[in-house]
Amino acid sequence: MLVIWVMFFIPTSPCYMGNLALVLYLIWMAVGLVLFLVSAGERRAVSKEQRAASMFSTMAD
Amino acid sequence: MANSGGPIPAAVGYLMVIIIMVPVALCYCELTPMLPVAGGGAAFAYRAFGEVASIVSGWACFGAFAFMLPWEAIYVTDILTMLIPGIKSGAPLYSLNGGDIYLGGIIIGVVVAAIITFMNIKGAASAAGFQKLMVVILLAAAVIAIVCGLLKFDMGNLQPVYENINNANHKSMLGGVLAIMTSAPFFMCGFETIPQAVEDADGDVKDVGKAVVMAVTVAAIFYAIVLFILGGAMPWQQFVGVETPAVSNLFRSVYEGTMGQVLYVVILIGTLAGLLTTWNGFFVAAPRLLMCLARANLVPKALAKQNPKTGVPTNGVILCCVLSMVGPFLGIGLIDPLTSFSGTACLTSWGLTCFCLIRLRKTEPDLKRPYRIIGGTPEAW
Repeated sequence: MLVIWVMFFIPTSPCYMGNLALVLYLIWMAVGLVLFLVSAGERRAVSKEQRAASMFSTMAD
Repeated sequence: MANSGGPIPAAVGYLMVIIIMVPVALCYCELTPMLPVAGGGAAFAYRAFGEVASIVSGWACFGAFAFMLPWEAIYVTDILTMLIPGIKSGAPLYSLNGGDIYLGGIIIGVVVAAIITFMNIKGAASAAGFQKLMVVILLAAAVIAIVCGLLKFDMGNLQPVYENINNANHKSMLGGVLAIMTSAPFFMCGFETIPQAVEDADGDVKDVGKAVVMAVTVAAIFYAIVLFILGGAMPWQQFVGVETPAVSNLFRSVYEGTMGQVLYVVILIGTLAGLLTTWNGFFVAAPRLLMCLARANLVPKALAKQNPKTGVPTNGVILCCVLSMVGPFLGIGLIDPLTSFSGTACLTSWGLTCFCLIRLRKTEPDLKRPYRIIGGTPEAW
């Protein structure tokens, strides 16, 4: 799996995703990073335990 | 088929995908009942590695879902223009990456996107009813295609077993098999929507994990069978030269007269149903994944906003509506980059999920695991 994933980024490999897809991928992940950084203020306002609880709150013990 | 050097490398590629995908699906099989919350890979990564890994996994997965919306919109528009030829009349408005975009196509694509958005705003029940109907139509068309393809099947049509006819980036059958890996994850990633709905599962959550493995295996075998049978229905070098929609046009070529015309329309309707099913499926899953990320403050909280009556993630649905409506403006020329992007994004999330299983077995060995994968950590590696 990891090998295939790496091959997606190697231009000479049969699995290469293509230039446009690579640009889209990099832009998309950069947008995710920006949103993560933008929401840093919201994260600081809530404790780590509360944030974890919001994701796993519906889980039974 | 053309990019992999024939139907046999393409079919073998899909069977090889099982070897890669089943261990991933098995990881989901163990992790989903262990952490039965919406979010799938993002939730697993949060628990195993923390917030940064969670946003990488979740955002990549959301990207795969989100880019499928314009992908589906492009193809639905294209199929509708074939069923109703008048839509494509007149000169194209513009061309993008080799694909012509027509005003009629844009209008019809935007209208269909609006209908799907409306169904999802009404709630999951409305979307589920539509989904069932489309699946029945899709399965009926698939059975007809397989049976009619078998009636014209000839092993001689599969020769030569491998030939690079498309100036693709490979020189051997193994290269052709590997080439299918670029697009295969894209066509297999529907299983990722199952863990997103785990909180709504009525039965045993263990069954959700098994459903994931079943979905992956059946899908890969189905694609391999279809490629093999259709590749053998007419000489495959001719088949790859057939104009899109290739499968519909194949049946119009190999069956003469009315029968060919009827099959052409039946396969187009089946394709349309399949596209609408996946479009709707990702439209249901994508806003919920985004809501999960926003609830944990990994992206701005506004994206978690829900309708108090229906529970529908309103802002996520609006975002998905916009992405869907962009599709008809992009046109068929952007299909390949969108496919490759989604495949890569899926693999990013799946790879991280495998590492999550390895990590959680070490850090939280006592966490209740209703299902433990055979092979354990080595299997995940």
